[in-house]
Amino acid sequence: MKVVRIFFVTLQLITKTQFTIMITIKNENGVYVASFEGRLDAPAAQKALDELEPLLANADKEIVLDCTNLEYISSPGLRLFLRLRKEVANKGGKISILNINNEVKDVFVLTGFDEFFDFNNG
Amino acid sequence: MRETESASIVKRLEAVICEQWDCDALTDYGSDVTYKYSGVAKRICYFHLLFESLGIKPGDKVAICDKNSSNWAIAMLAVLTYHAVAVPLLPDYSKEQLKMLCEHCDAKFMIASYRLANLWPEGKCPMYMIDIGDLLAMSPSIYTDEVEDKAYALFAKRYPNGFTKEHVHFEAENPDDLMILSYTSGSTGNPKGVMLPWRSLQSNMQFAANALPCEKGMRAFLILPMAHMFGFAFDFLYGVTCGAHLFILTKIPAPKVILEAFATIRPNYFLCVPLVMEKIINAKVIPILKKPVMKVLFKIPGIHQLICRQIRQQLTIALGGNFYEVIMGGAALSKEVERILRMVGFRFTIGYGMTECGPIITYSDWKEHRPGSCGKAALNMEVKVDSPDPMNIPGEIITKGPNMMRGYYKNEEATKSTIDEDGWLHTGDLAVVDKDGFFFIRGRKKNMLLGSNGQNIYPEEAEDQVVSHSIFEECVVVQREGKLVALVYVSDMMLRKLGTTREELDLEAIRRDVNLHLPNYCQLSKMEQRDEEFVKTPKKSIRRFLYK
Repeated sequence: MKVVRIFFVTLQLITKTQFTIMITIKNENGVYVASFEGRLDAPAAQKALDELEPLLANADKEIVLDCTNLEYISSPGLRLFLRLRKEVANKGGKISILNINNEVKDVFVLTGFDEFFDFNNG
Repeated sequence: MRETESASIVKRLEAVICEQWDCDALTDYGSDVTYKYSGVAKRICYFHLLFESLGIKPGDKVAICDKNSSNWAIAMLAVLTYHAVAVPLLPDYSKEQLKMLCEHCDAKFMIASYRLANLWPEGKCPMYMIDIGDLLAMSPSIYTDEVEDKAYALFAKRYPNGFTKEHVHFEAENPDDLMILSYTSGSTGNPKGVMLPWRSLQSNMQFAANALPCEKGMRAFLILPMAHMFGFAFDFLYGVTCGAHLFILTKIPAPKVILEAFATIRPNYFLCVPLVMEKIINAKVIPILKKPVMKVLFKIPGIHQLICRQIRQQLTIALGGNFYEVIMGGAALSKEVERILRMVGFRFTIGYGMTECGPIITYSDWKEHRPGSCGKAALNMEVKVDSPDPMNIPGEIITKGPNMMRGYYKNEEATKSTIDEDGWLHTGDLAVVDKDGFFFIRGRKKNMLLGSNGQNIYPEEAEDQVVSHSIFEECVVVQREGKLVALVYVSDMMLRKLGTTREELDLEAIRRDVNLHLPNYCQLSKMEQRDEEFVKTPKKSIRRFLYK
């Protein structure tokens, strides 16, 4: 397993300094695995877009969004996932979501976006 | 079942969603995304939870502003099933006009393109905005998260084991409640908000059920703007309450795109404005008819019928071959194109209506359609010509019935001048009616000109002849010092196609040729060429009042 790049995204909430999400991207035998840890809320999603640039650039490959430690997502976070999905669809890659918890899955179901992703449990 | 439920559009939607749960509902033509009825239901549920979280109540106004798309349809269904008042706004309005209309209608929630995110200066947006592109909150903020948190919590509480078709439940609407606030685009002035109660659309749906096919899983191809009542009522609302699979064109309806779509979709019914059929006829049929050999063949007994049958078959196949009839409305059909369609025996008809009637006023099935007519009084509607001799002297079309609006929003004066004390709605259109009740429109009352000998002149008649018998694509006939002047426009594309320029056109020769097709009292004394197209309303009618 080769670690290509590791991001520690420190984001500030409007209400003062708090780490909301950490994104780590690894290349595991040609499969890009992005691990999310924390809350992907509105302010976090704005910053996270820049950090996910390597995934957009490799949207012709297989991408796994590891949500094992993703605690929360709101619409800007969903939009980020959708953008990845769209890029992957355009470039002929493959995308799936790994180990999503029930609360976060509910958000995908409620907004109807569960239909756009493959969900796997590792 | 209660009487209000039997006619209820919302209960009908509820039933269709459950019956068609696993069937395709909405597809943006050319995209890879198709929503099933189950997916539509889930998104409706999400909207309802957002509305609740924001404290939006039934009767509050929700503006939906964008071009046609599946997401537009979902947003509209969510608003209607919540019993909020939908305010469909065509995206062609300028940003300033949109802002003005949103404020005029007191919208509490807006569903629109992200391009309108900054319609109000930072922090001054008076409402929650959803991006129609993905049906997610428009601008990221803590406020967005708070509203969504409430919606997520409501979802977890109400549907702990997920959302299924057993959870689909909408209350029946009250027919007298306001359903739609539709802004007419104002070819003669400022937009007016037409208040349509549920009763109007219930009656229009009843009409459609008698006139159009209704089979679950049937396919419809939507090219009319759904924000316009013609497209809204019969393409969108009727289609979805029948459980149809709606294919929505999100691009400009160019003939090439439309014909490709017909071949794959093969719709069961098709509605359009006359311009679409005119373009198809101009592209597919007129070049055949203009061939010199055709003129000879048409004179041979029996061959004429054979050619007409062949053209009819080709035209029917080009439109998918699966439709009952093509229904046109929204404008007058060119007389020349109507003549050709009738000559070949094509299944088409022309209806008449207006936003104020949600929209239908007159219609007849293609089998009984009469040339130049827009049909007879539609189901549930009383229609007459206000004239001392309605069969010979044109008078204003007036109508009464459940399709009628309540009035114009915040505009009592306009309401009073449109609906008289006896409850008749004055359409502003002039017509005659034949002994069998078929109406023949002559033109708009406010456009009518008075000839030098006292003869009424309907500029629309002359304009139709100019467009039918010249290369000009747009025309407005005006009166100057008692004489008729045709203001005309031809596009650069057409000029290139013909290998000519504006300067090379012999306007005098064209004028003389057109005059051969016009009655004496309607002769054109001059043609004036414009180098840019006429200014139009968002519904693509020419703003005539700008031209003198």
